[in-house]
Amino acid sequence: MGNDPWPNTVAAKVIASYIHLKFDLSAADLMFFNPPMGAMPFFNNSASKEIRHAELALVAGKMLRFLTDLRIPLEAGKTAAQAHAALLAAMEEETGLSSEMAVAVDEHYRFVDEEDA
Amino acid sequence: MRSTTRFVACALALLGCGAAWSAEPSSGTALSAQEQATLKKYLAALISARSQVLDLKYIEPDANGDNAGWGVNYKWNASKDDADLAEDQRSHHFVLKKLSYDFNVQGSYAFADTSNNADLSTIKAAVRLERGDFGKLDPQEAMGLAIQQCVRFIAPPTASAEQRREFDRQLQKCEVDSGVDALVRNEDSASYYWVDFHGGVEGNQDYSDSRTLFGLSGAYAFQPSRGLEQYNVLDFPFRLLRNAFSTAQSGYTAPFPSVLLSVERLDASDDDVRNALTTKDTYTRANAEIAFNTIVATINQQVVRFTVSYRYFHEFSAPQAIKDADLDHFDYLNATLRFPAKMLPLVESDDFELYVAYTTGQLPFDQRSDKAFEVGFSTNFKWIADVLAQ
Repeated sequence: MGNDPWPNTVAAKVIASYIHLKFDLSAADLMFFNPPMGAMPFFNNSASKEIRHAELALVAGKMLRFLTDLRIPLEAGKTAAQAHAALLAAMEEETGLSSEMAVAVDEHYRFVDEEDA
Repeated sequence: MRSTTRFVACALALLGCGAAWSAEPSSGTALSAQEQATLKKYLAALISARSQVLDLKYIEPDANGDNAGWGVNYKWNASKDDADLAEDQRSHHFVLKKLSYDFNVQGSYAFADTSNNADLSTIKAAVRLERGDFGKLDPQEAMGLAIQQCVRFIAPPTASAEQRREFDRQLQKCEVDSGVDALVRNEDSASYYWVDFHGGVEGNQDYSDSRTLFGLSGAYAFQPSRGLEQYNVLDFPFRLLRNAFSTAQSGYTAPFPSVLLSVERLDASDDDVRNALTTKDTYTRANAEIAFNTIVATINQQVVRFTVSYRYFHEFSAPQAIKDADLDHFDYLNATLRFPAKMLPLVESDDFELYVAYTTGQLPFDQRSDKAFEVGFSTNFKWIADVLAQ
């Protein structure tokens, strides 16, 4: 009984690409199998949630810096701090789906496939 | 309609006494104890999936086959924050500054005679300051457009392993052609820390034994750039393995070990366990944790990783009775090796990852038993689990 795949959006592919480049994880496997957050290579399953909060906040911040480097604009009315909070909330759920990262990013940033929407 | 009735009957039977189920099986449909336990777990997961606050769980019997039953984990959080994440005008770093107020209730409750295997409940309020420096910005607008246009029309990955390989090949071509591979490989160092002032209550499941507390905590995490990773001493053996097995393209650098420090003042006048030993019911406790997470090897874009955490708790100026009972300090270690299930094609598993964990020690909130956390080796690798169980 597998999970539904990641959404087929540019946001999802860009985030999967970042995770591939940073952690050498297959982007296709990540998007198709949609593993839980607890199986992500940056998730420290042994640590207390207090330490994990700092570690995941750091990873979330670096992902958003990557998007900022690429000059991907925020959605109207959204802020980078809100995007960080949403991405971090998705990451902290050990049993939550990894696709929630792509959803959180897509809700706050405007990618090229949304320009005509 | 008929199947709904049957489902409800099954659910009620499972929620009730397992023995009663076994004593009155319907004709030819008696379930084994293992099947009942499995069904109960699925039922708990089904019910819990509808709630963000409650998580119903089925607690397995102990070694004697006793104390099984139903329990519930609960957590509720309310917070308000004021945050800013933007380019710092002086350093051109991407910096987060955040002030948050947090109220958190979480714990577990086991019904009837069931043993609660996570016997800690807490109510805490905190004021927290957080700061993250995610490195110097390197604006690349053309690169951003190029990667988006390139990945936009790649067909999504499917169940076909061959198609997924093709997806990865096309994506990697986009990464190289647009230049984002070099951008990620040359990422700057980044750091994150938080400090908080907190207060609250911690206790057993119904707070009949409880301690009020207030204190200061802080945690720090650091991700080095490639130039600084050589100073990550704890990662040295893993870096050797990783470099031997991984492709040279990876932008991975292991984070430095993260640290947590906390000092708390506690009032344990409602803690019967402590009161039985000493009349000194207020004391100061320090807590330190060091945690580390690294990739051991990447084989065909599948990651083998290692996580470890060591926690130490110490009560300052503890009375002799507390020292004699060995309750003035606690330590706890958990280390886990994790690898993708599909790395072992002959092993059948519903899990994305398989793990083997080793746990030793005890946390201070579980003074009456060693059941709060699984001690020794544990795994979700069925074959190894069977060997360990023996």
